[in-house]
Order: sequence, then structure tokens, then C-alpha cells
Amino acid sequence: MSLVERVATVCEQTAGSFPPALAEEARALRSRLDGPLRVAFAGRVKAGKSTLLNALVGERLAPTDAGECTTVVTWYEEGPGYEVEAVRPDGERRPLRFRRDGALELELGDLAAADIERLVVRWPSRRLHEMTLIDTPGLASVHGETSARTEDFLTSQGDRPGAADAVIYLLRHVHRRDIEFLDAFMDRRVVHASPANAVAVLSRADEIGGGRLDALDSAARIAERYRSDPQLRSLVGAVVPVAGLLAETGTTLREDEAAALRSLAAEPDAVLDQLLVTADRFLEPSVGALTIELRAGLLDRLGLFGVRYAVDLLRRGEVTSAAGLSSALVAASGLEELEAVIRQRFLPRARVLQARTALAGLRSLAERARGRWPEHAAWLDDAVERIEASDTEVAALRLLHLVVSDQVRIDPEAAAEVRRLVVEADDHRRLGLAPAASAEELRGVALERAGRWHERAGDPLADPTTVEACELTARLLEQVWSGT
Amino acid sequence: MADTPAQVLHDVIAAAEGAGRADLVARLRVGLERARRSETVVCVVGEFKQGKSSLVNALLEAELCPVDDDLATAVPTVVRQGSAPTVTVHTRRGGQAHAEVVAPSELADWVTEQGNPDNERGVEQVEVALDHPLLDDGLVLVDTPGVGGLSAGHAAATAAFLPYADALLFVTDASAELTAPEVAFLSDAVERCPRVVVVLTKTDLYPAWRRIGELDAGHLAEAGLAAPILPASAAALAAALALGDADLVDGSGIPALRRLLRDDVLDPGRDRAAVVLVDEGRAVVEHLAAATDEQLRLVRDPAAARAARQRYEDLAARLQELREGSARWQQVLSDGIADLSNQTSFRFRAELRQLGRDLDEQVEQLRTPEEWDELGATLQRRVAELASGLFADVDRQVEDLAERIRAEVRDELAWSGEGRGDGGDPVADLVAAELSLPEAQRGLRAAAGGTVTALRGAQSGLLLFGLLGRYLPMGAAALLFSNPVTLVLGAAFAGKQVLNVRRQNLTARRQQARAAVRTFLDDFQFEASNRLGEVLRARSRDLRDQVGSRVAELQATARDLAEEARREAAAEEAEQARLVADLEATRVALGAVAPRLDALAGQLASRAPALAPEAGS
Repeated sequence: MSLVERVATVCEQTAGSFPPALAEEARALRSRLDGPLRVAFAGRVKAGKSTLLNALVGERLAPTDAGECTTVVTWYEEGPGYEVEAVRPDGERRPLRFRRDGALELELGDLAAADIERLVVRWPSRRLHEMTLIDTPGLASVHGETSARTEDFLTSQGDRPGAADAVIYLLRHVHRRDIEFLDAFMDRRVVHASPANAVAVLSRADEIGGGRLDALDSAARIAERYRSDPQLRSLVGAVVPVAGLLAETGTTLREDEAAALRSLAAEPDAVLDQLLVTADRFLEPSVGALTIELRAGLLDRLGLFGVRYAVDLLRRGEVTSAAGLSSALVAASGLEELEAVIRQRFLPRARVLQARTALAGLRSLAERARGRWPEHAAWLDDAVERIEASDTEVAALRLLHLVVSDQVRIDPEAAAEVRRLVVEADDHRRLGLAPAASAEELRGVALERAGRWHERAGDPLADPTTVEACELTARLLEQVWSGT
Repeated sequence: MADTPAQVLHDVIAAAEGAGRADLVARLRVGLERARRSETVVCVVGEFKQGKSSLVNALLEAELCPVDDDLATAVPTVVRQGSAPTVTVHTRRGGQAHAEVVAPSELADWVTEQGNPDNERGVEQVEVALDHPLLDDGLVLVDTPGVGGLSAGHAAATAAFLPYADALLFVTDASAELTAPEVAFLSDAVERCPRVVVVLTKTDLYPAWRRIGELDAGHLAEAGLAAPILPASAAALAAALALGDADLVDGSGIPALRRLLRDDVLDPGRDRAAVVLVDEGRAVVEHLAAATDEQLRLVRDPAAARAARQRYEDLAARLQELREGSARWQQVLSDGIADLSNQTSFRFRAELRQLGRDLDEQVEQLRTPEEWDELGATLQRRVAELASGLFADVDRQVEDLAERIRAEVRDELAWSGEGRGDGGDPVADLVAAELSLPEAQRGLRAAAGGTVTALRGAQSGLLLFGLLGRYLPMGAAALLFSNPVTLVLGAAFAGKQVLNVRRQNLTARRQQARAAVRTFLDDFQFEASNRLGEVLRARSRDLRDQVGSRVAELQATARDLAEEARREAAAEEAEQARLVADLEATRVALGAVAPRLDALAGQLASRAPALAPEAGS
């Protein structure tokens, strides 16, 4: 029986035997196992969460604005038709009317943000079929209640487990040793975050360096530095720079916008120098041929960097068509790298991540049952522990945790080997082999390494945690060898 | 055209030269020099990567502070006037201060996080000298590390420095509205600094900067903060200069910011310096006038001269005694400073010990990593408060000691000028006046309400800033390393087994945290005591020079008078006439300059609100 099946069975048994209030929750945990992976976007205010979400969906859904914009946790799910509903704190669901003019415009009617636990947007979309995306209000907001809402949602404090299976943290360029930085990561609060299910995005990459044409190179360099930061490595599996606005507009670029950019690119050098120097100048009526409305539209959609970048592409003749421009913008934005990380890291182990969320939910149920129904609680504890103790995938995640939190005494090279083995999904990548390596080679390497890890486990001086970690690693390598 | 203080002072100098008083000339020259060098300290603060260094560069039209997409300023950089660009790095190793002049191109190696990671080179402050009109008027710009970095550390160090600064430029970029931590910092800052200006940077890049500015204004109003918001763009200024586009220069907002600095910050600062200078001029004029009048009286009245002879010889002799190292006031001063030093160290030790005990207790209560972090922040905040309180107290107590010394000298002199017999005694008044704190300075101290704002401009501020900026991050780091953050992460994966590991670990980590806090407090005490010792030694030297000079000047006057009294009435008539003519010329010169000084003092007093901004706003 697979991990998910075992967890599902325990959920069902709990639903059948627990008192009604808790049983309802167990049923909810069970049904989640059948749905898509839930990926949350988190970060400080104005980090660009909604913009990035739109880019990943490939449609402008989440409203974005210069000021703080997202104030309610919003779920974007796949649905057969287009619908939006508000979920009240008491669980009542109320359909909302909406208009779509660019992004969604919702009519909340008499509902205040405080009356809404979350919004659910259902939309027919291929991307939402694989995962449900969850937009959250930013942390460190001046509006304290907005940030509090995100913390409530993402944390396991209180009596409810976190609702997301994986997290994309957005951080703007910050200081290496910034404690705020760790706060923005909420590593201590989002109990489920680990390098296996968390990715950091260096967002608004186009604004680094004042929007110069080489901004994205700087962003890549900074992301590279973050990647080697030990603190960050213990929190996330990857750091990807993304220019969210370029990505969003690139995926949704319209023909008329491309035409406006082309006529902009055709302006004489002297006019362009004038126009592109500042955002205010770009909107100066006396300069250039384009109407102010068109210019304002371009600036809104691409930002000053995006306009400079697109004009540069067009003038150098690298692209001409709207489609060409669109894909060039997306390619430059870094969105594809992020998608690759999601494809390689999150999706292949979606089921395990979901099972883990459900297990945490069951633990929380047991905790709450302990006072009034101690026998139920003891049974559930036991059932959850049995799964956790015997399943290698859960064990692998635990191993990763032990290694990244420095509780295992092994040399850094060995730690990197473990990290790769757990974080990556593809067997070649897991062993650090070239994609061309044959299956025979792969198995040979796995077996040889398993032997080495058994030796490490046999070291009489090793402490129990290290022994356990070495044995677990050997077990994972043996699995690669046996192809299971 | 109205007189400037410098013009009038030069005429006072001429009068003193005419009277042959090189000592008073020197005193005025020192006063002029001090007024010319009077500094107005403006602190540039903000979170990381908001464009602080770019703003400093734009204000000064120089590529001075390193600006890079990925570099961050880690050490306070002090920019002041100098004839040629020079960079001096102040470091400290093993309690010893070093100053090293380096090439301007090397600046990044010293002040940035990348060039000098974790400040391993032990830099406390970098001083940059540059020739610029804004600086020539006494502006000193302090570029600070971002307050988001090891956040509480630099923020606490900066907050402790603010009472020493004349103004604060709070830098926030137009990419987003103010965040909660930024508003919290500003709320605290307006309590400590009379002039806070929010600078909204990077307006070239963000079309919606006006809206962000409005939103920010709303947040400030909501928090009850009255700070103006000025848009600025260093990049727009650079482009404007390259394109030769005057409109864009104005559009960059930098000229408006320079104007604001000049009108609202520099001018009041210069007024304060002028008040002190005019006061010094008036004191010298009164000194010369009293001496000249008395000389004239003695020349013209041989009987009075005979009567006064003993009196002035006496005065000169007593003043001579006061100049000896064995004079009582010298002893009072040495003892006073020693007492102050002992008291301060004792208080410092006791307070740090108490802080250590409090933290020990709190470490025992630590349950969650958030509490661990909070404790780190508490440690930094309390150490910063403690140190700045201590420095401020030392400054205040030295002022009190100065007052005691002057009283002591007056008592010791115990000279009331008995024997003139005609009621008034200008020389006795002069002695009393010269051995008291000048009136205007008393006024300035009173205007500052006896609060820490009286510290503004004190050099000890930068010393304190360097110290805190360097040591506070270590305090937080000590706790950070023992924070069991990673163990909590584990709870999600593992349940009971890890919880047991966690318990053992927690005990060990608490011990580690306690030891780290203790070591940190010990180190900090050592370093801070060193710094306090330096401050006290410098202040004691100043005080000794100041009182010593006044005594010496009075002695010179007394000697002149005694000599005049000794002169035989039988002196040649021609010589006598010449003498009277000289004295009368001096008297005329003084009579001409005195009203001009009074007028200046009146003008400055009418701008009094600018001298005490906290009372005015």
C-alpha cells in the first residue's frame, strides 16, 4: 500500500470513529489527498506575489497595484467554469459577482475583509489542474491585521495545521544577515517548510540596479550568492531570480501592446533618450508620437525596465512579432527556471507532500482529542507514528531535516550528497550523474555509495542521530539501486 | 547690508590688537575657527537597498559612497568638508584606536558588507573629506548601515546616535509604501531628533511614486508623525547632468532637498554657532572696555593710581597662584573627573550586571525561537539605551563640573575689589563675568530644556555610534547561534523522538545563550569603558584649557593695571598724552563695535524659535 493510501485509510478510520466535529475535519483531510498540490505564495508586502501568481497561471487574475493590494487570502483552483466565492469564518460560502477588466474585480457587497476567511476563485486552466495556487497578503504591512491574516493562514499555531503543501517565498533584494530576512521566510512559523517543499524567489529582479539594462545579470549574481548562503540553504531548496512583471506581461502580451512597443522603438535616438530616462519623462506629452494612454499602459504593464528592455530587443532586431517579443520577455524574466524547479521538485513528490500535510493535520486532531477522548487520541497517535516510522519517503524528508539543521555529524560534501538525494526527484540528478549515464552505471553508483553510508553508520564514535541518518541515506540509495 | 558675525569679530580683533592684547586676539581667533568649523550633523537612515549611499553621492555631486546592485554599507561613513578628497579609516584592535588614510578607490573594501564581511577589519567609522559648498557650510553627512540589517542592532545604534544629530533623512524607495517596521522606526526617531525628513527615492523608476508618496503621508499622519516627504532620484539627476537638461535636474528633487537642508537644518545650526561667537565677542569687548576705562582712570588720577597699586598687584599675584598646577581648582577638576569616571564605571558595571541577571532569567523562560529572537533584540536595545544614557549623563555631569570649577575659582580668588571707594567696580564685575558661563550659552542650554538635545554636535556621539554599530550585532549574533530554530522545524517531521532530542538540546542551548550574553556584556563593558575614559580625558583637557585661559587673560589685565598704577605721576607729559590717546582710541573702537555686536545678538535672538526647534514646532 502506498503512503497516500495508508494516510487516506487512517483519515477514513478517524472520520468514522471520532466525535462529529473532529470527524468532519478528518473527512476534509481525506478529500484534500485527492486534490491538486497546494502551493502558497508568501513574502513581505509588495514582494510581487500576485504578479508572479498571474505569470504562473498565464492569465491576469489576481489584482495588482502600486499600493498594497492583496488583503484576503485567495485560492485559485481549477474549475469547470468561472466562479468566485467568499468563505466566511463560520464556513458559510457565498458566491461573489465579479467583472474582469485586466485582472478580476470582485464585488464584496456588504462583506468586509474581516468577515472573509478566504476567497476561492475557480477558473478553467491547465496550470491550476496541477496545483492550486494560494495568494497571501504581505507580511510587515502597516495594516497589522493584513499581515496577521497571512500568519494565521500559513502557521500551524493554534489548533489548525497549515493549509499549504509547498511554499514559494518571495524576497526582494535584502541583506545577507537580515533577521527580517528570516522573518520574511517565516521558517520558524511555517512548520512545514523545508528545502524539499520550499523555493525562494528573488522577486522584482528587474528593479535591481535602478532598472539598468543589465539588471537581470545583477539579479542572477545576487541569487547565486544567496544560494550559497548556509542559512538560506537550510530553508529552501532553490533560489531563482524572477522579474515578475516581465513574466506576467510576457505571458499575456497583446498584439496592440507589441505594436505600441514597435512604434516606440522606431522613434529617433534623441527622442528615446528623452523618453526612457525616467517614468515621469516617459509620460511627458510633448515628447514622442505615442499617445499618453498607450504609454501609460505600457509603463503599467512592463515597468520602466520592461519598456527599456523590450525597446532594446526590437531595435537590435532580435525580435519583431508579438509572439517573439512575448517569448523573449518570458525567457528573460526567469519564469521558466521557476517552472522547472516546480516541475522537478514539487510535482513529482506532490503526493508525499500532501500526505505529510495530512499527517500533520491528523497529529493536530489527536492533540485536540486528547483531553476529552484520550483513547481516540492514543489510537490516532499510534496510527500516525506507525506510518511515519515505516515509510521511507517520510523518513527521507526527516533525514533532510536532520542534515540541514546540522544535527548530523558528517562532512559538508556528504551533507550535499544527502541533500541532493532528497531534494531532487530525478534519479540521475539525485546521484549527481550526467543525464547520459546508463541505468547500469546509475545502479552501480547507488550500490557503491550505499555501502559507504553503511560503513559510516557503523562508526563506533558516531552519535545515535548520525547513525540513524547514515542508515536512512543507505536505505534511500538502495531504493535507487532496486529501482523502487 | 547687515553685519556678519565674522566681520564684526574681525573688528573686535583689530581693537584687541590695538590694545596690544595678543592673548585676547588668540581667543577670538579660536572662537572664529570654532564657528567656522561648527558642524551640522545629518544622519541618513533607511532599510537596505533603498538608495542611501546614492542619495549622499547625489547631494554632494560625487561618486563617493560605494553604490552597487549587491553591495551594502556596513559601517557608518562620515562625510565632512576637506580641501582634498581623503578617506580615513578608524579601526580599533585590542582597545587601541588606529586611524589610517586610504585611497578613495579602496573605500568599498572597508565600508561594505562584501569588502569587509562581519566587519572583520574592526572598522568603527570611516571619515571622508570632500570639498563641496554644502559641506563648506558645516554640513556633515553620516551614511549609515541599513536599519534592517541584524535589524535591531543597527537600528538601536542609530537610535542612540540620533540625539547627537541635527537632522535625520529617512530614506525609503518608491517601489512600495512604508512598512510597519519603517513606521515604528520613524515614530521612535521623531522623539529623539528635532528634524526628520522622509526622502522618497528612485522616483525615476516608479511611475506611481506620487501615489506611494500620498500613501506614505497617510501612514505618517495615522501614526501622528509630522515629517515632510520629499521625492528624490539620484539616477534622474545623473541623467539630467549627462543630458544637460535643467528641467530634469529640478525634477530629480535633489536641488529641493539641498534647499531644505540649507534653510531648515544648516541655517539654524549656523545661528547656534553665531550666538556662541557673538557672545565671545561681547565678552572680549567688555573685558577690553573695563580694562581700558580703568587704565584711563589710573592715568588721569595719580591719587587713585596710588590707592589701586597694591590692589592690582595683589590681583595679579592671586591669579598667578591660580595658574600654578598646585591651585586648588586644578585639584578639584582632577578629582571631579576621577570621581565621575569611577561613578560612571561603577554605575555602568552595576547596570550591565543587572541586565545580565535579567537576561539570565529570561533565557531560562525561553520557549520558542521567536522569544529567542526577541531576547536578542531586547539585549541590543537595552545595551544601546544604557550606553547612550551613560554617555549623555557624562556630558551633562561634565557641564555641572565646569560650573563647579568656575565657582571654585571665583571663591578662591575671593577678590571683591575693595578700596575703589566710588561705588561701582567694573574690574570686579569683569572678573566675575569672565569666570562664569557666558549668558548666551546658558540661554542655549536652557532652550534645549536640559534634555539630551543639548548634546547635539558633541563629538562623543560619533564615538558612541561607532561603538554600538560595531558591538550590538555581535550581541544578537550570540543569541542567534544558540537559537534552536532548526529544531523546531523538525517537530513537523518527527514527533516524539525529535521532541526528546529537542529538550536536551534546549538545555544545552540555554547554557550556550547565557554564556554568550555574559561574554558579550563583558566585552562591551571593556570597550565602552575605554571610550568613556577617552571622552572624559578630552573633556577634562578642554575644561582645564578654558578656565586656564580665562585666568591668564585676567592676569594679563591685572598686570597692565598694576603697571599703570606703578607708573610715577612724574612721567613725561608727552608720553602721558600719547598713552591717553592710545587708550581713548581703543575706547572709541570698542564703542563702535559694541552696538554692532548688540544688534547681531538681537537679530539672532529674534530667530530664537530656530535655535530651539523642539520648542518652536
